Amino acid sequence: MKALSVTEKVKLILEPKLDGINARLFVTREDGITIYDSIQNNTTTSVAALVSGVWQASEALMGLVYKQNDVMDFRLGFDTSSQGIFLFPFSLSGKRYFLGAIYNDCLNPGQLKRHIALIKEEMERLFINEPIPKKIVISKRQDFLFQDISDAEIDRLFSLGGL
Amino acid sequence: MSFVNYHTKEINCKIVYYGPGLGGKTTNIQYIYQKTSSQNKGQMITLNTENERTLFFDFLPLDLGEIRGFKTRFHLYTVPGQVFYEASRKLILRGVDGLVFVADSQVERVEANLESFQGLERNLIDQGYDLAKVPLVMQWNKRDLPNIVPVEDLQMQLNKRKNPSFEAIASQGHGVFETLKMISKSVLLNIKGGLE
Repeated sequence: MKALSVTEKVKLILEPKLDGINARLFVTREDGITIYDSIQNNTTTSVAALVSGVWQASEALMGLVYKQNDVMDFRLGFDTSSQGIFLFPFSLSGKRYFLGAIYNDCLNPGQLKRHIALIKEEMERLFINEPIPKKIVISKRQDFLFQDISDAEIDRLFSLGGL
Repeated sequence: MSFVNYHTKEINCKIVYYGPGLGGKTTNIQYIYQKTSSQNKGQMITLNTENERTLFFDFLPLDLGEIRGFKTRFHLYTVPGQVFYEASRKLILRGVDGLVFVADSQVERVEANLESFQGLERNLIDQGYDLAKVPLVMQWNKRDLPNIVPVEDLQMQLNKRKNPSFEAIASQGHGVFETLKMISKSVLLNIKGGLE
């Protein structure tokens, strides 16, 4: 059976649980790449970049004042009694990701938070035995994705982008 | 950070515009944003101070199209240029795939350029990178101003590794896309194959 990508694994768990959750749910890599977003639009990529930025800044701020041993125990919140954002870090195949929710007009944010925390735990539990991909040392030109790219190809790429 | 998804055939790359304060990093990104068709760009994020100086970063996602069957997405970031935002600059460099150093060509900014470039080298080392191995393009900005340093001097002061360089007037768009195309090409050529 073909191995699932991280995106497919995350989708498999998240999508059946979206019913009844009145929030935008997303999973991002720690470097700001979107893995999953329950609402796909032109803000999707920016959401991931900001999530990464806000987490990194908070982690650096905490580390500036107190030495931190395990930032995976942390979570991040920004909320009022009815709207807000929260982020949970989790590990998958040896890499760090964030599961987050942005909500508005929520009657019981505590319940929503608990729900998301349980999804996070389920993801960790299901994928706990996933092997960590081996690091491949790249030394030869043929190990790169592109051996060469011409200026014409780059011009074409940018003209496709309307530039 | 370059993330190649072989299932969906997508490449994501992070390009950071670095340089001294008021050198034109944000102007570069704004020009790119203005000239890109709406279906190819995401929402531009700017985290500014009250007087419109970059506080944390600017961010512009660009979905360009396909190259050899791979859909490419470039994430353009700027760092805050002011000296006291060193901690933020360090964070934004995490996972960088390519760098554009935007130097201010004015004579009175020579020191600021050098200080910023040295800071870049230092911050990359702190993040575990070697500047010699990260694609870098130099941009000599503000070439339209009267009191500017000759390009040869800028090359000598800041470009000892002889990275590709472009003269620019970012406020008018001159040199902006030449710089972006060059760094994009260098980054794509630097992506390792065989990993997800």
